[in-house]
Amino acid sequence: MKTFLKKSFDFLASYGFACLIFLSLLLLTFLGTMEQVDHGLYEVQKKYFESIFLVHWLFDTIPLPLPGVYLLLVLFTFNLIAGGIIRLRKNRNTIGNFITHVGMLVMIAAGFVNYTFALDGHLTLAENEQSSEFVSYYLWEVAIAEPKDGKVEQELVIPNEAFAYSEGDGSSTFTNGELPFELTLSNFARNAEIVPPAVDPQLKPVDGFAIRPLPLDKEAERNIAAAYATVKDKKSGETQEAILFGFSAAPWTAMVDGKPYLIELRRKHYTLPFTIALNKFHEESHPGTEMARMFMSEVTKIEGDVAQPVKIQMNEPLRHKGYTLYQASWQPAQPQFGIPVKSTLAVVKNPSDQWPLYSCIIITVGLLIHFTMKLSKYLRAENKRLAARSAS
Amino acid sequence: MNLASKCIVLFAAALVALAAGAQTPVSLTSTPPMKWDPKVVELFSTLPIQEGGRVKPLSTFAGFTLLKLNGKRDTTVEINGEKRKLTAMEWMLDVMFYPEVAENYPIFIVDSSAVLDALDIKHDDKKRRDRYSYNELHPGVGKLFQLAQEYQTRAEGDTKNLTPTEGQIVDLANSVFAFQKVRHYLDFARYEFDLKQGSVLSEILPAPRMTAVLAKETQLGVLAYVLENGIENLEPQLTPEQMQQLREALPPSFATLDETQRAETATQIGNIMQDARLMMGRAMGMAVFPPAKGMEDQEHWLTAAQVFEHASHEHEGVAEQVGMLVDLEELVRQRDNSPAFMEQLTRFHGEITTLATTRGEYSLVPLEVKYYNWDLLYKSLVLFVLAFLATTVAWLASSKRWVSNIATALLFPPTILLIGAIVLRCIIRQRPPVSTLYETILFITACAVVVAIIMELINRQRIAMSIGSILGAVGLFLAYRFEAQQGVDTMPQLIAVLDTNFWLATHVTTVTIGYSAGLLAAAIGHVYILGKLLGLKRGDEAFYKGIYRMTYGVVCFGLLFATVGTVLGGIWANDSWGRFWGWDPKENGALMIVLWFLAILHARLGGYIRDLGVAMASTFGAIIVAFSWWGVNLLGVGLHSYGFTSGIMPWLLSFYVLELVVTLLGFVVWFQQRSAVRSHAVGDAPVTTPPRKKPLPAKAQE
Repeated sequence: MKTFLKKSFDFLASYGFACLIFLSLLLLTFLGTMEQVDHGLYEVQKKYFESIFLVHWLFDTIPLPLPGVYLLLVLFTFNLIAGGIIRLRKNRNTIGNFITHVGMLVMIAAGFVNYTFALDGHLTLAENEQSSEFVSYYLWEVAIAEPKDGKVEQELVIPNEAFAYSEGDGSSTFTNGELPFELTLSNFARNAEIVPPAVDPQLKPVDGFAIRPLPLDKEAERNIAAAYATVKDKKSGETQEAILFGFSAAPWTAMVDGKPYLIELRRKHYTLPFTIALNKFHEESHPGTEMARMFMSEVTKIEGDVAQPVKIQMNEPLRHKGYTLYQASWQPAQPQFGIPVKSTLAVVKNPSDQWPLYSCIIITVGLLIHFTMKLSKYLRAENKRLAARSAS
Repeated sequence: MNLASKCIVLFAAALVALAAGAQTPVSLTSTPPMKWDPKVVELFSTLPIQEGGRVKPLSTFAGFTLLKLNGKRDTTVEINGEKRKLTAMEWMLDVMFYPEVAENYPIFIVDSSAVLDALDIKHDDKKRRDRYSYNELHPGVGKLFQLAQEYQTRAEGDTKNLTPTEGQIVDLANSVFAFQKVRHYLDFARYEFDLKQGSVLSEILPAPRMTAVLAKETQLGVLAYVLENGIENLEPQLTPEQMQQLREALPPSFATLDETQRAETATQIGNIMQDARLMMGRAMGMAVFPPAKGMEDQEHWLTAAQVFEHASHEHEGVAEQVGMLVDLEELVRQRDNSPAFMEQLTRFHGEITTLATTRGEYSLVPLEVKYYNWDLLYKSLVLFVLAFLATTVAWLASSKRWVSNIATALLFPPTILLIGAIVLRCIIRQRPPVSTLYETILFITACAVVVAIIMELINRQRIAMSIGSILGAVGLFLAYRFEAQQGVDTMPQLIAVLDTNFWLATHVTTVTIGYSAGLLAAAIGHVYILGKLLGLKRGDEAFYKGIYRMTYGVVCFGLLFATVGTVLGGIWANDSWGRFWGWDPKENGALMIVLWFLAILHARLGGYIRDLGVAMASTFGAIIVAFSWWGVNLLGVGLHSYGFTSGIMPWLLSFYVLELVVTLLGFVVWFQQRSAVRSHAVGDAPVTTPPRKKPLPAKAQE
């Protein structure tokens, strides 16, 4: 057993294993890059870069099972710790090597923390609007609320992960002690359009419309989800049906036991610990062109009674309380439809936000030390060789 | 500008251009001078214009316009049986001042005769790929624009959706459009209205010119109004004071006009105003006029058309520019009178540059003119070729050290010129050395050559100096071809996300040094493989050990810069896009280089590859570098859209194949070495390669 463990450790710590991982990562990075042309970043990221295993179709015909990048990075971490840190002989000749490997470890830790804990979304505001919520680009949720005096004070939320069982022909039923009904979601489609049933007789009609699933868009944020919702009164057993569509202008109102309940399929909402108000949005192009030179949002960060004016622009985000707000894009005004200019701020909460910078500094120092020592050794050897040649 | 807008602009321009055929300017029959006065060329060259969002010399605009049309910055034309070699600036002067002659210059390069077939243009006496004049293309111009619009709409902004011929038709339409903008720019200055001596209009208009019409536009409008409505009919509608003003505005001979003359005059005014509008429409090609004093916050320079437009709406602040339009009219009229032309030009140039200087937009214009006139990159290319010839001589005279020293010394002048060109670009652009794809070529070449020179000075093996001269020549040739193929300004303005000198100076330069190291390592790997294969220095293992050490050293150097550059790119992305790593194709390309370098170094440490293996792996690395540098730009996906390019796929694929072949030739060398070892085992041949060592355990490695 000891021999087996030792052999396993030796293998995990070996240069050969490191090479195998580097080459596998290289291959997957290449395949994932090429596949983005046809399938877009989001799907490729899930399939190649956040997976344990995957099947790549060579020339669309030959299945090629491969380890996913997630798995490879876990293995690489073992290899790095075992080979690059624990087993590395520690002396003045290897100090650069050691520092570099530590820097790599910090980098991988940053990636892991980001992957596991980071939240991202966007906050889109028109001038003079404010909000303390941002929404996900890709994730969906169903919110159920009981308005009181026309106001919503509390919402029950069915998270994105729960939709897995409702996809395709599946359905899931959700309930809560506070609710007088059960909600069943079925035929959840991550990208769909709402059409008249006559378009396709196989579609299920509800209130004169039906959900027609669409292929996923290459730009994942363009996907609009939809699902059939059935509300069943817990007391009477009466049911009501509706279509929930991610692009609906207003929630579906279901009347149960004489009370209205608002049910909405929407992009996942997150709450910020402060409020952002957009005062003014600026967009400048280079003169005589339509090439953007500068986007800038003049905002006010409101926290309790404290309001602080801040400018957010490309390469100059706002960092506060673990959240970072970036100038991501903007939408021009459409006066004919009464739509004002809007600024979109990307919002990210990433506990490892600055770790890559620390890692970069560590790796640079490590590599500089290591390669400077190597170079000086090489120069000494060359000088000796040239001296010997001159002498001869 | 989105695709739809482009189509509209293109089509509108086509209509304007086609209309130009119907409205022939004043007949001008002289020919351009055989050689433009150098002073005239200099004044025009240093004339600033605003184009592509920046102020640049007219000569730069001329250079890139001709490059786009002609594939090179000069052209040779024949007039009256005599050949004239024209620089881009001289060509543009011909087009602006002698358009009727310049329309016959064969400057439109057409890559395939299929394009002409599609346009129903005869080309029997031409080669499959040849140059055509505007007049030769003219019969098909209408169809050219129609097809180009159709294809662009279908392509939806992606040229990959077009066949090669369709793509060439779109390119040709753009070239013709670019030509027309220059060719018709001074039509307003050439145009003369047909005014009869002593007619009522000649009393209003002091000269039959556009600027005169502009100055008297209100009076012409009043006259037209009176002619249309009859002064008697207006009397009841106006106050006595207004009637008095109206009468004063009318020319003295108005009262003597009979009914027929009144009708004729009204028609004439209508024609003049219509022609004036047409001339204005044609003068929208170049923004030559800086905004006037007192309008410093106005960034947009004005085209002649915009000056007319502002003046016609009596906007304040363009009086000075209107005066310059008068200068231009006079300039066109004096084109065959050298002294008067020079005097007029000097005045016009002075007015424009004074305004531009006041705005702080002129100081770098003369330097840019010098940058292109000095043509440091071309001179550097020639000197790199000479340096390569010298290194060849050094190899042939291997016993003479001084020959090698001279060959190494010959690498310095082209390198200094190349670095000088890069520095000049930095000064002109006020940017770090790399911010466009074109500049990556220059910078990567310079880095590779500098590192090669340093290696040569260290080990004196003549290998690095040879590689340095080859890489210098190849890099600059590539830059030259890329510039000609793209045909656009290589000092463009940058989009918002790139507008940060800090990150351009750190991430972009470090990661391109990583590219440079990858290519240099590959080049040295070639020497190892091909040298072994061809029997160069057969049996001299020290020689090959030296090559190996160089390759290994450059891989280490490359790993440092590629890694730091890639991580810095992530940190920049974290500040601009909100994420450190997004698996974007350009990021992935950089990561692939890092992974490959890591694989090489760890495989070497583990003993899985040795000298030959390092050479082969480094050679293969050139494919990965090329994919990261160019290949991902062709995919058309990802956030690095500012680097997207097209039209280089055949070259890139050829490069991949070439590098793959050289890498695979390494296996032939490996088999040769193995055979030699086996032969030695039975006593047949001397051994030149020590047997493979068992890899050391990780613990023992340093």
